[in-house]
Amino acid sequence: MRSGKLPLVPVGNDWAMVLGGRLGRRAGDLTQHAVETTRSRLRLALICFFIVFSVLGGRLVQLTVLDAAPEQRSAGVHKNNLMRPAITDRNDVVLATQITTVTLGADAAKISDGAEMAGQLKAVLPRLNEARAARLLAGKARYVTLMSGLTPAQKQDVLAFGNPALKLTQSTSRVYPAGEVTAHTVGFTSSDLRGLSGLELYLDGLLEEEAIYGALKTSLDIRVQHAVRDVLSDTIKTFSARAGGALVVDAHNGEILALVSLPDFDANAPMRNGQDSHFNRMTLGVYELGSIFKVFTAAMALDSGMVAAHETFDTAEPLQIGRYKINDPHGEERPLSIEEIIVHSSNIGSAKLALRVPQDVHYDFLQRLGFTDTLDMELPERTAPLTPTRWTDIERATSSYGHGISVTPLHAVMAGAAMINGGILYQPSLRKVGLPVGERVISAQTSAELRAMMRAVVASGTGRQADAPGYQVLGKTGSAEKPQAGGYNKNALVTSFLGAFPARAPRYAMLVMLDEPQATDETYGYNLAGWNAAPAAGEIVRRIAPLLGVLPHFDNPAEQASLALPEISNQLRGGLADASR
Amino acid sequence: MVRMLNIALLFVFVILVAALYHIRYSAEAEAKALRDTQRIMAAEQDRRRTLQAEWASLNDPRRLQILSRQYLSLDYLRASQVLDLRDETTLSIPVLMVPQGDDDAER
Repeated sequence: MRSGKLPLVPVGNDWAMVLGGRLGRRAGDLTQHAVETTRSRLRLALICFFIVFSVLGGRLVQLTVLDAAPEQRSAGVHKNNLMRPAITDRNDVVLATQITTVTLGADAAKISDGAEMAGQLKAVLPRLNEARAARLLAGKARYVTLMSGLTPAQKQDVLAFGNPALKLTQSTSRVYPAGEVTAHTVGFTSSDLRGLSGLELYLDGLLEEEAIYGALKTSLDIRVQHAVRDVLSDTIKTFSARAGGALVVDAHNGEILALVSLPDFDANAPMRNGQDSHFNRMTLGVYELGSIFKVFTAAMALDSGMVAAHETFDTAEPLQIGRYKINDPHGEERPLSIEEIIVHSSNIGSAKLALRVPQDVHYDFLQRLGFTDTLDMELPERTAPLTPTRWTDIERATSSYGHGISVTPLHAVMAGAAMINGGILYQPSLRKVGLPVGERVISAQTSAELRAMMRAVVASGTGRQADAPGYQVLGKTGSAEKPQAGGYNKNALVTSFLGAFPARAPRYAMLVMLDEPQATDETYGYNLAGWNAAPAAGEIVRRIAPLLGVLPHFDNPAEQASLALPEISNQLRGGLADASR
Repeated sequence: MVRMLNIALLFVFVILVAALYHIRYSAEAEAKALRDTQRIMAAEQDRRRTLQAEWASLNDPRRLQILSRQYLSLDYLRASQVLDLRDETTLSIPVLMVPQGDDDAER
């Protein structure tokens, strides 16, 4: 630049010149001044441009090279409802997923020979209703739906026709391979894939908080769930019950392995059955569960230290509290130990146990067992128990044997699990629990005593029919009359069995409940829990124990031998004996 | 000098235009390849989900129970059919044999 004729003027002089003005300068200098001024201004403009473009360029580099994070955008896809995670059971069996389905439609106005077209389509679509398709295609409608659920191969066959009048539309739909079996836990979605009930609704809330990659793994075991449902639905049929339900939970972490509430509905077509079938009796229904509460009462009495283990209570006379009288329907009419109160299910004995404990200790114990609050779990369908509004002696006496207090079956089974697992209460969970966090509610010693009592109920008491040889079921039956306006209905019972197995070291706790079971000839006219809920529980244990890997144990080898399979033919026996040599 | 500079800048400009064209073109090609791959992935994932759903419904315990009742003479596993290999007495029992009443009396 220095090669030009004009001398280079430093930029700073430009300003000095502007401030100094032109007065007193020589005329010959004026031209040169004008040139210099222009040159300076050009330079100034050049610098401005340079700065602006540098900023723009720098920003461009920053955006494209330094901050390049293309995956940030695709993460948003997971929020999209179209990409809901699948729901699986504890062994990764799919319980809910979505598939793309193809629907075939047609513009009937553009098809000249409807019958011929229907015939051609029938050749590639065996499920097509040909007569209906021919009728629709013969019409003049601009769009008719011919068939949904085409396979990818069928879609290709239809495309191969090359007929523009045929329309293929893709849509995403949520499917539930287990249908009815898991309907109450998994729930279902609307057609635009928003959760409407169960874990599907829970999943909507979860997706707003965290992205779930892969699948939502539940604690359910579809094999156990099916076996429980199968036994329960047979039982309901046998005893013409209105409804029923069953729960199987892991007593050592609160995981729910099976939750069945009958009647149920097909999650793939949720509106087909009535509204009643959508009611989850296990988590949303509250019932007076009757005598299974005696277990909790005995636990409270023993654990509070107010009652000695060997103490006996006189049950010969009815217990009078104010104007109320508590009776035993089939009383022993003699002094009973705590174990005998449980085994013979004595209302008088149970009430006496409860009244030995101070009022606040009693309420506090029920509160610790969770009987005063809604349980904290995944399902949106849950509710709080109904506890007495007053807490005087009569309410305490009746609630000691499960009347006047209504809880959900889930409340009962979780508290029941705490009674037999060594005294730790866990929160129920439909997701796999990593490190179980529980709260001690009774001592391990009390828990061991309760196990012995509940085993005696099954070995020699009202729960005899619940026994499953080799698996040593323990438990307690409960038969409660249903409340009705002005009292109780003697003919309508809610029967239940709260149990666990195997007795030596209970791993699984369970509850079976039947709503209004009827007596049959086989039960000699009885409709009590020992005749319907207990045998159902026994059958459930026989079916699910092998699935859960619980090893049978026989104290007496003769017991095992007596259960052996029918005679094996001598030839086969010889062969097997040879093979073992 | 200025002319030389201008020619050089023009040359640089032409090269930049050519490079820009090339980058844009290959970026579009890459984007198309990416879209194709994503479409294939989505289709495969869709297929996988469909197969999983099919697998789950084929293995549905309800279905297996009906089929097994129809075609097999199997019954539920009984406790007496389960042997614990850690148990001493198990070792003396012939393979797959469950102790029978008579044999037990002798032992």
